[in-house]
Amino acid sequence: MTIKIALIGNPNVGKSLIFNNLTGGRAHVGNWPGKTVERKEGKCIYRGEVVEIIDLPGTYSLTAHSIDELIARDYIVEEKPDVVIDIVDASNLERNLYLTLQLLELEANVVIALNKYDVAESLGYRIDVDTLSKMLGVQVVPTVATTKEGMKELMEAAIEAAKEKKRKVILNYGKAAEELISEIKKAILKDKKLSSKYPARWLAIKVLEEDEEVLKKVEKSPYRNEILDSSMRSRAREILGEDPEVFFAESRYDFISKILPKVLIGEKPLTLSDLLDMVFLNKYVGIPIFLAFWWALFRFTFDVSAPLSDMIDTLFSHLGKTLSSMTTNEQLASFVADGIFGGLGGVLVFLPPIFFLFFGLSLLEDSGYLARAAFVMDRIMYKLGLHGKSFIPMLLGFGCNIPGVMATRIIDSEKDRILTILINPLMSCSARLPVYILIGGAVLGSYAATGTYVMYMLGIVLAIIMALLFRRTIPYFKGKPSPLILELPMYSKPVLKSTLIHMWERGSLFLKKAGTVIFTGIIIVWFLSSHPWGVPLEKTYLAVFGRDLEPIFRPLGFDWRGAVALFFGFIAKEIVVGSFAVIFGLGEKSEIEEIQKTIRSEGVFTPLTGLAFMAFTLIYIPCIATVGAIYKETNSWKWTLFSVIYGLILAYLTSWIIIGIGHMLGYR
Amino acid sequence: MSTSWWRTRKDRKIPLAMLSENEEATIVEIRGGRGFVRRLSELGFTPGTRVKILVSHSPGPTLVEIKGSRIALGKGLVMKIIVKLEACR
Amino acid sequence: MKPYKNVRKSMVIYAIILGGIYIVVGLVEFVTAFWNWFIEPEGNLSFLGLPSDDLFGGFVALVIGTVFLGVAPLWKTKYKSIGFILVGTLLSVTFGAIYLLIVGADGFEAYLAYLSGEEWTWKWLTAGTASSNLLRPEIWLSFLSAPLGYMALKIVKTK
Repeated sequence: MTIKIALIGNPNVGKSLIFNNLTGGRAHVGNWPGKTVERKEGKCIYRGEVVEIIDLPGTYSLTAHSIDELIARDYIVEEKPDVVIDIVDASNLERNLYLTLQLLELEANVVIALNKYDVAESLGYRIDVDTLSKMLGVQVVPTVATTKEGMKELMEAAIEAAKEKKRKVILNYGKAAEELISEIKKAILKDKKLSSKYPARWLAIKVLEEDEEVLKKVEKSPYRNEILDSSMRSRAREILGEDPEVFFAESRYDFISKILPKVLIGEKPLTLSDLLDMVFLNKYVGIPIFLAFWWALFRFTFDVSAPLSDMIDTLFSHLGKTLSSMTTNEQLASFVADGIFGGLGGVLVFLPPIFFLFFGLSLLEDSGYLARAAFVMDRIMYKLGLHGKSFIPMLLGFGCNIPGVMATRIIDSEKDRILTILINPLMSCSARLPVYILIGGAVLGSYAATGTYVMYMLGIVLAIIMALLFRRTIPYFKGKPSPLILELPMYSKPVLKSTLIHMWERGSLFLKKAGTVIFTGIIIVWFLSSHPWGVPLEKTYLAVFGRDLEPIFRPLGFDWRGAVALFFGFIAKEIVVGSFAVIFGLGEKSEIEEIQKTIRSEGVFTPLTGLAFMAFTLIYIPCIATVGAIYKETNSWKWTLFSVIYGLILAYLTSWIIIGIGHMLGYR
Repeated sequence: MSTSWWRTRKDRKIPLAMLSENEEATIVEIRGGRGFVRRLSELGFTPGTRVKILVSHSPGPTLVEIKGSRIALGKGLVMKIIVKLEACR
Repeated sequence: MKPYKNVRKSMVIYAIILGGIYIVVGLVEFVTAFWNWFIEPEGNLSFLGLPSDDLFGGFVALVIGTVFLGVAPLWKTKYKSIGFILVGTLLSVTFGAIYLLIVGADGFEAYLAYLSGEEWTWKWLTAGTASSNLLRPEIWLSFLSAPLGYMALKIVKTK
């Protein structure tokens, strides 16, 4: 018989770490059905028992306010796990116990993991675990997830609780409230269906709190009128003395503040976190410090990973050549070398920067700094019409727009989320860089590096303009971004293992999603450029197609070759350089310098048109995989289509303006 | 600041936004839509709770200490949290 | 505020000096890079042998310098300002490490080139990717600030 255990707790309490400790890091990651929230499940075997562990989203409470809370709540009520391990941050007992009380009210079978026990001790706190356990009526196990202390004891306590299912403590809300609750409870109990599925007392309290999801269920009940009459808001407010939801929240905190002195000894001194925050959150240096860390992340991501990318590049072209030389069939040889190995290499060459980026980002997140960055960036983000947390997806976008788009999940408000998604593609992803280097190096001469930096800036500037524009002009977005409410956790030293796990989870996502698309794209390019077989370059499917597209791009100064490259760039930017190589008949794996020389000698681009081309590459949709991600996150064809179309229009417009200004200044 | 200003200030209800860094006060009420009020209640912002301003980037986000945690509140939110300063400090 | 801990005045002076050096370095790097990028790219202006190509590197050095200088109130025994030493060294060491890693990456590249037949040179040590080489002052400055940060950390940890 498998034992089902659910893990729950406030954000930042170390839940993921405990999950990894208990499941050995092997998790099945997916999504909650119909939602975009991540769902993690794992298994482990403890003393012969098979245990299934599910990681519920981190929340502060179990209201119907957000998707995370609903998912957690619904799971506990509907799936009825054998045990719910409530992970409580010992260094922050007061707030964390709020969720605990809600769990007890939900009549879940709770075991408390009192985590970060070491942090609490270092702060000078002492917690009386036995008294806490007695007062709450549940087992309390001190743990230190970072050193795996207490894991065994936790498992044992959980399994014991699963087998016993003890009676729990009920929080008494005072005579007046309890009478009111009983009244409603009586009405609810009349509905057999409802009261058999959910705990009646919990329902009564939720009805009083006007919980949206519970009310929806009550609406369907045949006893709806009775239930709703006795819980009418005006009446409740009179009896309780204030708004019900405030009354209940306050009562819970009241109960906690009565427990606390019996259980917790110690006072909060000026901590390391406070001192650091004095600098990180400083009005003047806060933002420059963030920019400095951002730059460090960039350098780390691109420059330190470069040799690994080169290594992969050489390796695959080598393999391709050797394997293809084993066959005399020219077509097969080309397919293997340029198609398959070119394709694989083309995808894998991007793995180093992606992994390095996620590693760095996980470090920033796990240490607690990212929340501070959200704080200092909020003022600017707000002025730009974006939510404070928007800068994180935008930051990610510089590595790859796919995780950038997915990261918008951290933003609660739908409007703010979609707006952030719409401008994310303007964050110049790492796949576009080779295109800048190729074209810039070919035609911009000593300004080549400048040109690349200008592209990155242009992306940011356009993103700002677009965000402001969309806010003002599109009715859906009208209004201000929703305000920031964010807990700033204590700083903690990131644990290498979990940082690596985060890095791996996000990086392999890129591999799965983008990888397959890019690989397919490269095969397609190979096919179109080498067929009909044996025919000169101008007569291949590729060239014919390019010539068809040419008229659209001629005003921008791009000929059929640029047009073809842009088309393939639509599938994936990673293919663009290879497309140029193929177009010039140089073979897909040729050196950049060769391609650049050809661009110059054949006059494919002038400095001006080259710049315009780079801008076009920057702005139009990054790749099909990104479009896929946008669809998944917005769940709407409308927005997805909009993002593609506005991208194309903006790209065309911007390039055209660049050409126009250039002409005026006398360039060709 | 003159003492008479201080005396009138301490008994009136003022938005949290008007406090400066390191000042403490007690929450009296939270104005705003139901959902927003509840969200804040869940985090501990309930009438009767002590709150202290740690960092103020006004106009801009504010960092407060409440019930042992540090919470960042965006601009506009601090205008909706009404507090009163304690009589004796 | 909390009682004054044993933050020695020498630490404050040390931090301020480091801050000053970083500001100078940052200014030079920033201005020369700006000149070389936007005003006269053929020029290749450079002062004191400092990298002249790294606009953002210069900006970062300026930031680090400013943070170190923020320590000034500590002179008047305001314990709070010790955070500036901590953050200053954190940034300093972070960038020192990154520049070193880049030098390492360059070395690795050179090795790869050597493996594929090119001649071995030690050029990568002094002429690295985007101005990162052993001679980069930020690397040495980070070695100088690390001990300061360590001392500050010890002070904070002892209660």
